[in-house]
Amino acid sequence: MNMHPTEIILIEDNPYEAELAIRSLKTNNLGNTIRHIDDGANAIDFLFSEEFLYREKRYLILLDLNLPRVDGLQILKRLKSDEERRMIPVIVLTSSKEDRDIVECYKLGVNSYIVKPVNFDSFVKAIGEMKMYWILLNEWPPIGKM
Amino acid sequence: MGKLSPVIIWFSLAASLVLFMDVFMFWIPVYRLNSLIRCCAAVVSILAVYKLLKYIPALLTLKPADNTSSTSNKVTELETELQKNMLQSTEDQQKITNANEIIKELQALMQQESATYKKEYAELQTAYENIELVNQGLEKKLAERTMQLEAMNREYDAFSYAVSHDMKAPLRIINGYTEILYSDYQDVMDAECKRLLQIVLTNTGQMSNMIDALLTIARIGRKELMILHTDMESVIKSSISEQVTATSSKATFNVGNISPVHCDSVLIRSVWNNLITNAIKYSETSEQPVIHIGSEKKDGKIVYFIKDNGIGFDMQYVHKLFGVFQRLHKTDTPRGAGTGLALVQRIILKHGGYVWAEGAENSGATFYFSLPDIDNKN
Repeated sequence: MNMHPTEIILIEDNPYEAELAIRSLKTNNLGNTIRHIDDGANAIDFLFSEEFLYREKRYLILLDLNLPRVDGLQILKRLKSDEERRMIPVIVLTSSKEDRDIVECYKLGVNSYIVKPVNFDSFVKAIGEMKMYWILLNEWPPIGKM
Repeated sequence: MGKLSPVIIWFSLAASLVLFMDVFMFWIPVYRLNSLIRCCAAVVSILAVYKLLKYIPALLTLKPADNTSSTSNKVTELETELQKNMLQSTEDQQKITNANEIIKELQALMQQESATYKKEYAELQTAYENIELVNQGLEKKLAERTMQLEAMNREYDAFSYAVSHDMKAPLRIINGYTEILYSDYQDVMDAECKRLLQIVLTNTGQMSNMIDALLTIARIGRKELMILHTDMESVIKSSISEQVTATSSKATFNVGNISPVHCDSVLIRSVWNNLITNAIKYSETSEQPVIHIGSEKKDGKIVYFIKDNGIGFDMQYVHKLFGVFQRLHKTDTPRGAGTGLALVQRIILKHGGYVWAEGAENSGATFYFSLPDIDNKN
């Protein structure tokens, strides 16, 4: 179980939520893998850009649903309907526990749905568990051109 | 008598011949011819008498035919008959005219009646049409109200979505940054600083619980009940074991006769969870906490109760018990959000039942709730 070059793409618009998320990732030794995008449209631009076509790393997307311009569900839909990009694991990280959001995401093929706990300690713990599962335990498609 | 006529003719002929010969004898004295004819006449007479003999009795009975009077009688008879007949026919004519008049009256009556019926029918028609119009109006109103309700529901949905999603975000951030403060600056913080920050943290947790509780209550309000036949006894027992394990309670539970009922067992389970947790919590301080649970059928309902011997409550505040976020005891730790009983009330009301409580300070409390008894509608 060695750590391949991994990039966690955090798509979160609220700077405070982002700071807390980044801090939790850092606490779990994932600090140097983070790319933070704070806007939905920018996220689309990046994810569907030419450079992103070449898979040099394992990408894991942490996606908030409530984003300005293009919202999380739209991004999820576009990713999962793209031949190559649908292979990237997407974890929705949101405060919404509403059934309809959960159902929508699963219908679009989300890999995981995590409700952010109010308690920060629990959140850090959850990120740690996420790391254990996705980055260390989970098998990834091979790195190379998509 | 037809056979008589030739005999009479011969007799008459003979007689006349005899008389003629008498006269003829004056001119020509034909005595022998005269005697011969007389002889023949005599024979014919004897024959005639012989033949007539048969008819004598019959002749004797013949009435003297008074031809003229009988005819006039007959005429009178016929006349009277004719008159009778004429009278009869006049009477009959009168009867027919009378009958015709009656028929005319009846027809007039019939027309009147039919006119009345037509009027009534027309009135009924208009009444029916009016009802149709009213119905349509009502249906339109119903459709409008339903649309309004649906719009309200959507607003409500959006509202609770906002409450859950949007309100929790700042709460999470407050909690997160306070935690970071706490962990990053521990070394430069004195005990008081740490205590203060701890209070901030606890209260963010408290607020989070309250939001969750409100959302649960709201969601229950919107959801449809899944009513099924439920073995209430097993629900109660399972809830007891769950709560006892969670709280490590030493309380003794006496479960009496429990009637099965039709209800949403998941929601009712959470009713019992709340009531049992409360009973445990408020009898913690007594030396021998005893909790009785039972049921009773009354007036087409089943009433369930849970009685504890804990610190009870002052009856004058009973109306506050089931309010959201209400707590009657200062000693209440912020363990619960104070919404347990509000949730219980919401669920029971949704089932068409009632919740109430009795208690006295330091003498324990009894909580009751009723559910409709579908098998026994009185």
